[in-house]
Amino acid sequence: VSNSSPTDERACALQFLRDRDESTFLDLYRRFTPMLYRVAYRMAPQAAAEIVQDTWVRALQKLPEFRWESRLSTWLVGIAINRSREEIRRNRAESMSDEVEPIARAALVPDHLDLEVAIAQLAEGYREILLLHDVEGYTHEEIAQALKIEPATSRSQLARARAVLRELLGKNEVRK
Amino acid sequence: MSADHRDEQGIPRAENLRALRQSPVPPPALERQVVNALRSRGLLRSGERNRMRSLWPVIAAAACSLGFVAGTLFSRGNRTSPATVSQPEFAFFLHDSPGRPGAGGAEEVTLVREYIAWVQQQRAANHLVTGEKLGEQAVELSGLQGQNLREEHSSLGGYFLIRAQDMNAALAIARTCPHLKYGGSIEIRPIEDTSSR
Repeated sequence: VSNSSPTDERACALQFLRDRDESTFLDLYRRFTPMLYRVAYRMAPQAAAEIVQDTWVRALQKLPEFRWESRLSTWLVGIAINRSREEIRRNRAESMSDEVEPIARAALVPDHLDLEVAIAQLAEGYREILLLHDVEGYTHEEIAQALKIEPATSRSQLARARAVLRELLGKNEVRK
Repeated sequence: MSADHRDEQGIPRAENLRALRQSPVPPPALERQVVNALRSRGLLRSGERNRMRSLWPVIAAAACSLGFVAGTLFSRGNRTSPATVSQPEFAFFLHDSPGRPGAGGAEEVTLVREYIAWVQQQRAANHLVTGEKLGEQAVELSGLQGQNLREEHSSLGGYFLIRAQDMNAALAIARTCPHLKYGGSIEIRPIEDTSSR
């Protein structure tokens, strides 16, 4: 989660809405893009830059309607996740069917399975929650706002995500 | 990943997961790419150009407060036709540069003062005919029946109409304009005298 306070975020965004000034935007961009890029990269590495770009385009289009019911960073990461989902679906449709993909994925698992690769092996839904909660530090309430789900769903998904991650890492030890 | 990096349940330790925040970092070129994408969709204006444009009303207002009559400083009404004056006229189109260094608070005040002094000087020397700030919106119409409409951002921020003996004299006047000092550019075009045609 961005280190900036919600008040700072809001002041900066409102200033941007007033002037649409490049330097004001760059202030917002530099606060949030590192986090957006990391999330996008771990969801769809081949299109991370494109996802970040589209996230900003969509965000600035919708910013006047943003109701400040969540933090700006929470709203932005929700847009980035949605855009990542589109990318994943598009790739899936273009490359291989859902049945083939897990087999192909398993075949691609390297002998030395590090944490990054294990996370990449997680199913999309698990990966989203694990990245947002365990890596980026969002709370379940914030994840619920970003992904439009219940906080309880976020909690249960995280528990499952961690279990699968443990299994993946354990599997690696067996393989080693 | 070694087992040391996991807790007793085999779950990666929180600090190892949080350490993933260190990378990857966005490629530096992405910033410009995003800015260009936003600009091309009309979602963003150039900060530098905005600053320059925002100065025009300040300059006009400051000029008025210093005793100028706005109608004579930036007026359309008192413009004399090229046919009735002995000297030719030149249009100075003031373009803002997106790459020019930004003016800070104190620098901005200095810039306004310099503009006022320059306008005053040109007026005293009977060089200044008129000047106008241009609005933000730039719409280009093309096609035989004007069917192509394109809204875009223009670097053209305003213009002055200047009397000068010839192009060299106009160039000499333009070179003294503070607009250049602050990174903008000036396009100089002679007003063609069509009265004898």
